[in-house]
Amino acid sequence: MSGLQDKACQSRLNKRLTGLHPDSYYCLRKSIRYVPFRLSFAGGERSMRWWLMVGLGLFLLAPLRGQENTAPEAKEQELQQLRERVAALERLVQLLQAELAALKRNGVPLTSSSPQTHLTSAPQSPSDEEKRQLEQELQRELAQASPTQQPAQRPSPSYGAVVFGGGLWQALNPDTSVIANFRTGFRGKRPFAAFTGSEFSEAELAFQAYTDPFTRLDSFIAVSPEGAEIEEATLSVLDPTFLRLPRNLQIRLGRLLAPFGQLNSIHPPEQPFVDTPLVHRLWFGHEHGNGDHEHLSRQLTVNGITVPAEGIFSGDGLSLNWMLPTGWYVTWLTLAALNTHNRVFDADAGRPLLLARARTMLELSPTQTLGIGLNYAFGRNDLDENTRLFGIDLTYRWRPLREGLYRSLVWQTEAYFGKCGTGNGDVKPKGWFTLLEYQLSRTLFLGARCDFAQAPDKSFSGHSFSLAITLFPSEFGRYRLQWSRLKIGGQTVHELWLQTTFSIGIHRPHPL
Amino acid sequence: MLRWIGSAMLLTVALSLSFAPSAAQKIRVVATTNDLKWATEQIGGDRVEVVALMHPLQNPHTVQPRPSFIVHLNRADLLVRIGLDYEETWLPPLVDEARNSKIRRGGVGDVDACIGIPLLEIPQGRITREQGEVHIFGNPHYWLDPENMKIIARNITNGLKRIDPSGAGIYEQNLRRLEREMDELLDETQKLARPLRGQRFVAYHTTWSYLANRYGFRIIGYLEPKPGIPPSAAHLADLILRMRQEGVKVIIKEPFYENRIPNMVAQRTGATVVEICPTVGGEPGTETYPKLLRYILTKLVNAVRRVP
Repeated sequence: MSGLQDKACQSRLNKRLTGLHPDSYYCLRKSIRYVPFRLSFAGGERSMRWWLMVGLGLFLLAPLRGQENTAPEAKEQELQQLRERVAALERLVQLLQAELAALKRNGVPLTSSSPQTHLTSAPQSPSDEEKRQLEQELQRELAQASPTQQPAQRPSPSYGAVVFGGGLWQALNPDTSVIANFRTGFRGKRPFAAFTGSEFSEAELAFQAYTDPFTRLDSFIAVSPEGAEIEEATLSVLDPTFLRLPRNLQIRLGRLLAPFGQLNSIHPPEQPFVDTPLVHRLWFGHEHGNGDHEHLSRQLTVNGITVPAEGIFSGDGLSLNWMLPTGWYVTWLTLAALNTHNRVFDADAGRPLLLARARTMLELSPTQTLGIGLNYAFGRNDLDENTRLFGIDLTYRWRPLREGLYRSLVWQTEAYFGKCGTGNGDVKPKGWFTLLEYQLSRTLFLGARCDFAQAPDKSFSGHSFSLAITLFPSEFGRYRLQWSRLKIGGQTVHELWLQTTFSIGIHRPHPL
Repeated sequence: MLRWIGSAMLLTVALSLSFAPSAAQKIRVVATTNDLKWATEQIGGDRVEVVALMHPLQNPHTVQPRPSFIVHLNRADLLVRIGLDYEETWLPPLVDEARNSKIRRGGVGDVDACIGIPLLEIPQGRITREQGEVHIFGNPHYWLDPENMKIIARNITNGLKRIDPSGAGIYEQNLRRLEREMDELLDETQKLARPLRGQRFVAYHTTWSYLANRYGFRIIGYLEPKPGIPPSAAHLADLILRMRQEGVKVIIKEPFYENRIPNMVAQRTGATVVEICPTVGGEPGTETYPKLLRYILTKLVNAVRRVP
């Protein structure tokens, strides 16, 4: 009999027995198991009858022990109750016999394990054992590499295109989400040399909603141990026709991510590495804390050089974005005027930073796209001298049609060139990075990045190499292990990071 | 350097303008799937020009946005979508980026094909991500029931009438023809699918609920423990035991899911893996909706008949 059939039988019996008085249950078990044995053992019919009568007498008299002084009426009443119990038990036995017979007729074998056996023993049913063995077997098989021959859901957690793409809209309430980012780091001349620190890096609170048929508000607030900061708060005029402007124009106001390069349009917790590229860190990053209260895992200090773990180019102002759609590619032209303060620019309302960006996206095939961007920024630096930045970016994406759930590839390269006034001529710093992210399976991504950057004043330079492996158990969370080798100011530093990032709520996926 | 970048920008703009095509005469419709494209063509006839964004062999959750999507959406008069949360991971940002107010939600050219569909598997009670990537409004794979195709067609007709009132008569006429065709298809496929009645299957994903509901078979379990969550050993072990217990001999999978796990389960249960594309045009001989439905049902019937 299979374990499940055993279980079914046991379940029926249990159901029948549930609710019986414990004594009755005991008697029932005895009646099923031992009565046939006694009948065959007892030698003669008369003897058997005698023993039965004695037994029945003892059984009936047992509850009356110690109650000799009770009134005859009371005894009669108790006797009557006992008779009724015996009759009830007889009916129950008949019922169970009928049920067992029915089960046998239906082909349920009841040979080796009688209901009694199930009721008394069965520490682990055969099905449990079978399931355990099966589970171990499957576990071994699933653990064997060879992910799939048919790679393919879901906003798949692929970097850049769609990240945490739940996107389930709610009625009238803004889409609200929290992306929590935890980092633990080891840093030293070799990996695991020193524990850098474990920190709650930041929680990104996002509120996004259409304000009316023409505009949408997107606000992202980064809450870190140092406090809360508005990372981005943008009012986007999606349909400017009410201003009698062409419909292919979009206007953005507020605190914006600067339209300079492609990676800069993605918030750091959603980027494919724990830290941002070196050129972003050295040119646009901010120092955190000071002295004893320095947040070690948020920045690195080598030979007196402070390198923040993250750098993002943003500012307050306005941008105009014009789209030119064609048959096989799309071009966006963006002009922006921003106030911003970072290591390259010190722009304020009187002299805003001016930016221009042209980006073309080509469709190489139904599975491949290539984005090319040209960037220019002009403003003043903290010496009140003119500073210009030029940039070029390339983004290649591949995702097969059938196997898009299991395979994808992103290759991204950006190069920046500066021309920064010092009062004694210009310095021309450079910086670039190239990164590759390949999807190994439905949940696993492997990334590699090479970086080079000079300080804005060219006082030092650094280069690094990073490897990251990212596990997405679902599209709403990820675990990332990253190793980086950074050489800066003549000193080499190894970093090992463990990052966990989780998203709750509704987070709008990134567009192209 | 500045001159070089400026020249490159100007060249890009010039090229973009030079490649801009002239305006088409027909009503430009963008459908998110081939099934909706077929229905729109049936209703719109010669008056419409329809493109589908998703490839039929593509998993709807892994659609990689392409520039041509934006171009089509930018010029569209009508956007026909499955709705619910089927395209939610990629379509809304593209619609915003396309800068076409007609096709934005509630716009005159926005057609949500699910309006009026009697939805299945609407989650009850509190919905959390603990339930996986649950479809919060109900199962969105509703097009695999000819009765629902009639409702889809009615929604498309209403959308076309809004955009092109002069063609209302033609659209209504085409709708009535399509409804008759669907009634006939339903009669025909009910007979075809008779062997499926009461059969039990296992599937990879919740794609087949409406089909099962219409043709009287049951999906008793899924390879995914929860929608969007990769299969685990513990879940598969449970499923295998259940399949053995209930005698399930057919596993249905879509082409965009991997073969390894269905084969692993099939090996342990003696079941057959049947790969079926649930979308028009995904396989040869499925270029129309009636052909698709016959193809799916025939494949299932054959799989059931092969089972000893």
